[in-house]
Amino acid sequence: MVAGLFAGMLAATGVAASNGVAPLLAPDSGGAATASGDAREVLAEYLAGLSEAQYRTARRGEAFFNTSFVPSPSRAQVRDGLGPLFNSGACRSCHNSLGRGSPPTDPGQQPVALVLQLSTRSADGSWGMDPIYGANFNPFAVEGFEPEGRVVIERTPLRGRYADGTEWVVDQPAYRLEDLRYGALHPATAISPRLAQPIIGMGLLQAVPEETILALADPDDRDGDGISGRANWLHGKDGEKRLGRFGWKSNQPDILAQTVAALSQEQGITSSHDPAGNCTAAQRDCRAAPIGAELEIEDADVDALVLFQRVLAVPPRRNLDRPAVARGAALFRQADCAACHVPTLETAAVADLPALSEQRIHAYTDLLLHDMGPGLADGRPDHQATGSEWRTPPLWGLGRTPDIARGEFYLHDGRARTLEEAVLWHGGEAAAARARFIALPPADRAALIAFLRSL
Amino acid sequence: MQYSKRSRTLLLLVATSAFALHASTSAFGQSPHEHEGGREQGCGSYERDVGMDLELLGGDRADVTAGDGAGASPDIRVGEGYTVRLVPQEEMEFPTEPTRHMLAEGAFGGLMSIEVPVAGSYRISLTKASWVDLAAGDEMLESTDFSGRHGCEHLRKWVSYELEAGRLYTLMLSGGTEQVLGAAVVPADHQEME
Repeated sequence: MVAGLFAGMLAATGVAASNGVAPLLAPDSGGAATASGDAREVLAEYLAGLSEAQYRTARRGEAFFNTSFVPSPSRAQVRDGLGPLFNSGACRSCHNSLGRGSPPTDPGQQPVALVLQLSTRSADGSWGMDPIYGANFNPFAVEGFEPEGRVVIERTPLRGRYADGTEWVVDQPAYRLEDLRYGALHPATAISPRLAQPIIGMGLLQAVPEETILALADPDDRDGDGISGRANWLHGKDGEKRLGRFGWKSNQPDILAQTVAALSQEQGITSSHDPAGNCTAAQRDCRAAPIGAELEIEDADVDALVLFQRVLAVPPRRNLDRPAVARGAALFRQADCAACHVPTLETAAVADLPALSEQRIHAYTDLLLHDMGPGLADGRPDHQATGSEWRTPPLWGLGRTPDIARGEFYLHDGRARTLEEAVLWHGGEAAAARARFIALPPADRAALIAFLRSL
Repeated sequence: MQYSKRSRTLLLLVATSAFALHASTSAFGQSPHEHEGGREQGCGSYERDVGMDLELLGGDRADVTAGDGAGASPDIRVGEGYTVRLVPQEEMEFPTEPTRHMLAEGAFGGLMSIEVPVAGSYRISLTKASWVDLAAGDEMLESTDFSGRHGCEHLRKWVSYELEAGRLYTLMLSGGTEQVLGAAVVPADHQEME
């Protein structure tokens, strides 16, 4: 019944030429920051128009991004200080080809790109990091140390059917920590798995004005469309209130904060921004380990890492001449996917990088939090995000995933092995969009996926 | 297809040890990541059968010094294990830029020559982390697969390529911080060795 109604609605509106579809078929997702597509690595192309100094600095940052830190002491002093507890030696190891990471696929394999974040609920109801294991679980350690333990992932198949009777199966993962090196987790500690995200276009997203993002918020759903959108306000150590826009729960305000957190918590690399590192007070052997230097990465090199991420261009769209892509774009709009995956944003003036400045971009995100329902919930609040809220992830570059990765892994923990599965996991505010997808006939489902693959 | 007597022996060893691992895992209920049958923690979680790689890299290895680009590069034969001494990267003259831009400070690099007698898929297997490129003249080959594990003493990573028989390839290592590492070229599909 629903399928019939929806199909009828599409036929009546003439999907391919409906109003509002044109931006969804724009070839230049990043405006002037769209890549030519000629680079050896499609996600590694820099913005055009960099100065010589900017290019050199970005290349320095790229080298740091690509290079594994090593244990101290080492002849390679510029990159020693790894761990001793860590998730990954190099940024690149998680962000495969600068794209999304992958969870473990082999029995016994420990996660590298999939980080288990930890936080503990205090008696007063507030949340902080686990008192023993810290903010991240580190399943690896340098030689001479033992890792914090072992991550066990168990997957339970869940089945359902599309309206046309076709069966689908998705895997529900459950996470458990074993062989814990420093004793049991605090009983009130919650686990949130987070998969490394693509880093393309981050300079553009950082340049979207705060007012633009807040204008999209509708925390009380005053328009009654069932979709809210909340800002995640972060309070820094200095008490400053900042809008979160990066990370799976918009839990980082900018690229610098995201980068420093990853260096510290996932690699054990200290910096002036986070001199404490990832050893907790309870991890005495970790704290006593040799260090690369008082601060293991210099400010100039952190700045280079940030610039490298700012200057990465967005890949151009593909297959826009295919009818299925145009039809999929209309379906994307009609299914109301665009209510959260906002197709068009505009960036503010950016003085140092003109290619980022005042650009009309098509990232397919509102950078806001949405309740995605119990199926995706991690039960772990993050600043103002609840345990079932997630940031709308940008979709640009999505279609490049099969080109650059071994397998496809979508959503916050990579549980979705196909784009169809990713849609099927949508719940909460997105439950209606999911229902519309399930109601579509196979050809229209394929068209919607063709549209996503064109991004 | 012709391979050395040692390679055939290794195949038998691989088959035997793989069976032993399977049998003892079943008998004692030990999980695959646990130390067992000569495979250290981590090695057992490789998705491919890397028994031959572990045999070569964990056994006796021939010593070679990698080329620095100015002189000749040592030959690396399929089915043999080597202990390779690399060159400080600032002294390297790579014939082509490595495909991964990495920090050169404190890094070591080196060149080796590879020629395979039979066309097919081969793994370049290393005991330590290093960026792997394979060139054929000016052409840089695309790898077909790769994997790596922390905590596997004798096999930190492998990268596979489709190679042509009789063609000379240059193996380029770069970016790692270990001057000495183990290396081997292993047929990726053991059935090809029958």
